[in-house]
Amino acid sequence: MKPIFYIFCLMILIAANNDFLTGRFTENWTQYSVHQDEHADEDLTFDSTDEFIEIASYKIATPSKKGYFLSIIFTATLWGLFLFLLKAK
Amino acid sequence: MKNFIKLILNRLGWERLSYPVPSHANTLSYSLGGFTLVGFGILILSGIFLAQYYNPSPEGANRSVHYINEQVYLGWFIRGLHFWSMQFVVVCVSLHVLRTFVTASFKNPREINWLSGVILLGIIGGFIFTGTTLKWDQEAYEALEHNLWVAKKLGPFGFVLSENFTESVSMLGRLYGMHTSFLPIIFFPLIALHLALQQFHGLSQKPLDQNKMGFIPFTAHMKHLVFNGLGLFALISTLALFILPPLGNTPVIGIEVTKPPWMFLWIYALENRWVPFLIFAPAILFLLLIMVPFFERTDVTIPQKRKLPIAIFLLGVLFIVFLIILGYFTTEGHTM
Repeated sequence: MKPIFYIFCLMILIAANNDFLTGRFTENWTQYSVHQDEHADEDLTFDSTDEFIEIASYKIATPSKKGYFLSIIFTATLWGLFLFLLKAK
Repeated sequence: MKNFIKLILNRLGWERLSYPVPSHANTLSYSLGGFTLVGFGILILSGIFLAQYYNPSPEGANRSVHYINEQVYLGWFIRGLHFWSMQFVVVCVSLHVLRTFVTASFKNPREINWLSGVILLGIIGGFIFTGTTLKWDQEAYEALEHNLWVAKKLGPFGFVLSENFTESVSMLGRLYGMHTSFLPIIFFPLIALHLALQQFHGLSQKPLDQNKMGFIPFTAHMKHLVFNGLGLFALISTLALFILPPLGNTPVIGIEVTKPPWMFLWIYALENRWVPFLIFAPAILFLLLIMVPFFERTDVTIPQKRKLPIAIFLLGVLFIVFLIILGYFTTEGHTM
């Protein structure tokens, strides 16, 4: 069923779009909601975009390079095994 | 060597699994349920690894996820596998539901299998929601705030989801318990029922090819799932290698600035119009899916003769896709 395959690829592309995953902040830093009921007495204003970004923005944590080589070998082995079986089919 | 493998397979009763199944079992559209199971296998194994390092207290949760990412040997990679297999499970299970409806596989005698599948879909939603809160960054905090808002609005029915339920354990700790014990305890018997019913009723026929259906041994289908599951694992592994799952720092309490993961964006788009949609939207979707086998009770399976139900279902799917796109471009507009 070809349409299923195309939709499958499209959905994976959408999920793989890094901006889609990490850019989930509202575009304008001044437009955020404050939960007034519970935090009315707290100072939840920011002086600048930089301060806001520093406090609340998404940062992709820098991963440890430990095991980077091993993970590449592992992934390559999976692909190798898959392609070998594909050829053997 | 060949004789040894033959002996082992014989002792394992492999030959008993060679009963015939329809040949279309090995097509992509009829393998989506099996691929979902492959995704769950990776989720369970990577989840067990992550659980060894995760601290479910609000003070230590975010730090422990950063620790997994930055200090634990291969931690960032295993976390990536966990994240990306969840994405694959969502994609496969969504298409599995779509295929089951379009090919009328939910009809007599498979109604209970459809219902168990809908409950499983809800549990998968629960897994994703609770999993989102565990990293305890801004997005996680806001997801938890939504949980508490829903609990408050549900009154006595939401008490168990509220912070007031107990003072001895934090809400985050309870969501972690839900993610790793409560939800799996419901999930595994249900998936067993789903598979047992599938085995009992057999694979549904393809609506258009009922007279020329071929058969293959079930072992050939298993080989197909293992082979393609391996390809899926390789793809997940590649994504984990190159695209890291998002992780922020500890949250700023009291504000709402993030959007939810893409599979929840349709609820976010509606919630921006009217906040109680947060409760109503998933409830309505769940009810509509539950009602499917009760509404369409004829034996007709050919799509050309089911134009109205298929049109309604596809319109619903398109509406959700539209809301996801709208949610992606929408700027925060509501206050809870």
